[in-house]
Amino acid sequence: MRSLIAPLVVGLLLSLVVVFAVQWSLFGDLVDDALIDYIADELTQDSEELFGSLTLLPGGATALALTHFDPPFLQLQSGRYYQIQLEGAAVLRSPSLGDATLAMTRVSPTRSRREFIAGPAGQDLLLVSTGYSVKGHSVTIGVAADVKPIRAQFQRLQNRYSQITVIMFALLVALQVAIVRLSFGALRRIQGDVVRLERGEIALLGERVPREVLPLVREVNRLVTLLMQRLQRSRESLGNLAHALKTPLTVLKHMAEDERFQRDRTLASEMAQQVDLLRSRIDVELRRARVAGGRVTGAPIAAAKEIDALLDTLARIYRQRHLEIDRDIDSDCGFSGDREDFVELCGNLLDNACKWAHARILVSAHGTNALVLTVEDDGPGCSPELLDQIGQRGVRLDEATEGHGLGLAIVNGIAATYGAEVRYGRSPTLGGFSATVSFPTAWRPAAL
Amino acid sequence: MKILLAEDDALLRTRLAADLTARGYAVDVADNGVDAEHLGTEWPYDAVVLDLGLPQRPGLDVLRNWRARGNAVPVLILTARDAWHEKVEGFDAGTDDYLAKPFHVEELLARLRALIRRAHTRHGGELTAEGLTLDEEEQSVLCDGQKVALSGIEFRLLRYLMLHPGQILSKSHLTEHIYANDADPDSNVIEVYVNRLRTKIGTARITTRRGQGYVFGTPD
Repeated sequence: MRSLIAPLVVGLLLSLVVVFAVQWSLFGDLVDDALIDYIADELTQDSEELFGSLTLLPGGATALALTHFDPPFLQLQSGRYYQIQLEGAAVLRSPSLGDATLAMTRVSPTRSRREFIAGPAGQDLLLVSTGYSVKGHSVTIGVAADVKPIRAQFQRLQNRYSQITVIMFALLVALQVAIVRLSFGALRRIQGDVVRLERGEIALLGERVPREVLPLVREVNRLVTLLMQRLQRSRESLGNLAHALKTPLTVLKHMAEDERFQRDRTLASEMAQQVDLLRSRIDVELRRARVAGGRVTGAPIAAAKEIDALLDTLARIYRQRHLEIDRDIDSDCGFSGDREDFVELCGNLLDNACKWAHARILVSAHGTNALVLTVEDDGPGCSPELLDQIGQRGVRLDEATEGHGLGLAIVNGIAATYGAEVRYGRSPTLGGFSATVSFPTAWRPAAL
Repeated sequence: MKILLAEDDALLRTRLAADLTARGYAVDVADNGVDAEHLGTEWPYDAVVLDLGLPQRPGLDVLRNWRARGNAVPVLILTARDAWHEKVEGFDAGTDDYLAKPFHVEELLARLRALIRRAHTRHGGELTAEGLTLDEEEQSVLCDGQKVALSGIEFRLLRYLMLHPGQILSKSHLTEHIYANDADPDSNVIEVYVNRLRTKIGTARITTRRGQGYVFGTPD
């Protein structure tokens, strides 16, 4: 998987390295050049001064008519020297040179030459030799200065500068990584939002995100909305199809019961059978399609509210049975899934209980995260063989018949899509049939 | 007993209307939601068979509008939509019963009968009053141990009287509940049938209140 942070950090690191390296080397060279230029200028001035006071005596001897010497020229091995050559031969040397001579070459008049030479006592000398012409004689004046101390000082400065650079480099990298992380924190928040979206805790992703990722978030939201609309539309069209098909079926059924058909009983019963077959096929397909089979976005639905509404409806449908229904439902019980699926599942379980109960039904729902729903009755219950049969996973809806089977097959179907576990058995408290549906905490929609 | 049958499928509507009429109900029909709501508001029906998928105005809206205006007419919803959340919605809107298509006509008739009885706070079984037992299947009455056959209108009239014992029922009220809207009975036709009934079940059971109407059994 490609990381976004790694190239950012590596790129930043490299560019910082290049910037600092270029800066470091340029700084060193430039300062060194400027320093040498400055010293050379001073040396040239010194040689001009020396030339000004140079007197050429008749007979080829030379003499300096300098009244004032810089003290360094006088002190032995001070690091400041001069040497005057006449026609290539050294004629005058500064007292600081002692016995040593400067290895200098003749420079033609008006020319000047700059070079580094080794001096006495291991000194690094910068020598500036300037050529002059006096009364037809070629004179070369060389002035030298030791650059070792100043270069050493400069080296110390540069080392200091390097240390500061390294520290700044580290600080900058740390700062940049922090900035990148902070920016990518928004992505982590979106990731969290997506998880909550899947869990159904929120309906859409939050749009308070950086501008760069907003288009992506909007696109995801648009998709979610589109999916919701499609689900809604396909459910509506299924409902319409059911309506469209069932009315003619009612008419057909009605016709089969008609007197004229009753003259041929076999024909009538065959027709009624076919109509019933059609009806059950439609029911099966519709119910299968109606199960949303996925976590639909939105807040978890309040289980207590939906079950109460169902109990109210069932009380009216079975008003003649005078059933006593006890409810034991945690008020904060929530179901993170499709409301219609939940109502269909509970409706079938409760309807089954209402059909078979003698007088009492107990419905209980517990757990906020992993909902556990139990419906028990005091009816005849189920034989172990039948329990085996209805408890099988994937009982086919079309194999089940009206009554006990079909409703529970629907329950099995819905539970399977939510990865819920269904257990049928005998109620320990009421003695009749008992059904328990346990929803897992975190589930993935099963393939339909 | 006057029934409003609201169903948009012409074939089903015609056949159901014929069945209901054969069972002694006066039947008005509507093929859309707007007409159904109007009829149900204007006429005192004893029960309504309401299809949910009506054109122009959905059956549930029709039902909600009636209930919002305090119309408590017993309603039996007829629908292809039989998911539990739809049933909950139907009962929430104020229906009294819910029948999923396709259905047996016998089941519809049984539910309708139960619905009307319940509206008169009577529970299932046979309809009995003042020593009479009505046989709704055969449209006859058991009077002092003797089975007496009834004509269609006589049966409708007697059933209505037996469901409202002790109440003063005017001639126009009885006409409204016994004849469909498209029938145009003579103004004294009720008088004729009351007299015919009296000869069959004894004069004492139906008393005349001059200027007010008739009372079956002893007044409240």
